[in-house]
Amino acid sequence: MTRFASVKLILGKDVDKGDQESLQTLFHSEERYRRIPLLASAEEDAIVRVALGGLGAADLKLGDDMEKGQVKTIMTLFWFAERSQLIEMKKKARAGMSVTIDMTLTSVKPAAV
Amino acid sequence: MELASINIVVKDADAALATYLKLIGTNNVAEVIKLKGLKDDTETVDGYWLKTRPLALGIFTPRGTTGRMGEFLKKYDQGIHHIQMHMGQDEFEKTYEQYKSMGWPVSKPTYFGKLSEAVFWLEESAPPGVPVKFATKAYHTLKMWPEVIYNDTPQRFEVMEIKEKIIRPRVDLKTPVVSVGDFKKQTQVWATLLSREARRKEGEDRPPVDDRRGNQFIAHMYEFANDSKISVYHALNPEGSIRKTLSRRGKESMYYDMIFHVQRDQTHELWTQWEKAGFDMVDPKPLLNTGQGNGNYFFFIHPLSTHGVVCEFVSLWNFPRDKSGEAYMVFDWSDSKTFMVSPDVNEPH
Repeated sequence: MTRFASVKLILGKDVDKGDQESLQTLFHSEERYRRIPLLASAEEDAIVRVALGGLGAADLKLGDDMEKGQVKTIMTLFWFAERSQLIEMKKKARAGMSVTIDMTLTSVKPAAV
Repeated sequence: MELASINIVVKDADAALATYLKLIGTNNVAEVIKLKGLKDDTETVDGYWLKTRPLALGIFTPRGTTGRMGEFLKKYDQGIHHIQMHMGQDEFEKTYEQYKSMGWPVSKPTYFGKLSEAVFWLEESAPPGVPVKFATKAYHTLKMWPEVIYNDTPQRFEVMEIKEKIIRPRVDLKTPVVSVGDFKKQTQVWATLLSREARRKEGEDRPPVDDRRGNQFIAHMYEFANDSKISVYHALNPEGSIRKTLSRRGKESMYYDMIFHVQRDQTHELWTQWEKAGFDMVDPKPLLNTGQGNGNYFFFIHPLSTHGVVCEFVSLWNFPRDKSGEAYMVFDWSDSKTFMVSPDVNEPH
């Protein structure tokens, strides 16, 4: 697995264990637009494992070809359908908490130069 | 009656001018007029009038918090405040009397002395639920002169010299979108206001539009001779951003976004330029609309980076009509550089 990106975002709402949430519902727009430098290149439709601290994880499809060093956001990494994919919360968390989001490539297809 | 401009209220007009020049490109703005102390019947505002095509973009900062724009900024924060309609003086006077006779709340007309321009407002409390400003260039004394407020304003105005050059592919400001709760009522209201029927309708005999960002909506579009239009949208799903935004405002209608038309084969180039320039792009790239067979690219910039205004971009140019009167979409290939089939193939020989 290749490390793709990492960013800390502020949780926008309280969640309980078992809640079904998504990147769209967990984070306010200011957080979803926080800049994220990419650590690796990847092609459109590559699968990215998005781990939300200990809150939960999802495998999301990348929305376009991306190159190492580009600066993206949650919004420009994934299409709406992917950002809306439901993730089951593994534990309780409070709004305002900082969540480290680690992204790794589970299927690596480096973008052609 | 011609749709002339979309006008936004912002906290810092200088910052917003810089943003919108960066967005639209200085090559797509024919002139920028700086307005200081433009006073109407409720307030004094400062700002800029960008002569974009076909619609101008007004950027205003109110000096107080009690006028139309001041109250809006205080209550709703930055965003689209009003649209402006232009008409000859005779039609202006007739329209003013017509709205009054219908019982629609209109402001007293205001005369901007230094420009010989007269305006009146259809107030937010009128049936459309959003402020609409009507303006004319006076060629004779106003017939309703006893009601008119005469102001020796703007305090100052000047055509700005824009030194920085920001070159963008063609970007045309075409459409304000009004989001409404009661679609049937509001489409009738807008037809009355504009003295015309909607010419394009989405979602009557076809399925609702799905923007693939969580909204399904139906729409009526009212067209103008300058190829601009007003679109009235009714989002069907309460969980989508269009309905949620309207609900947050606690109103039955609001200006939701403004639509720019861009050159089809420059769509991805523009998207990339704007992402690099720091605009908050809503998706990973322009979305190809595979619904309803229109095949356009369309995408959005989030209001976080555009002073509270949702900006929408569509890869088409105009909606001319065929012989049967049916509207169809025309693309702009005027600046095409790379192709396998030359756009000239469509030129008459």
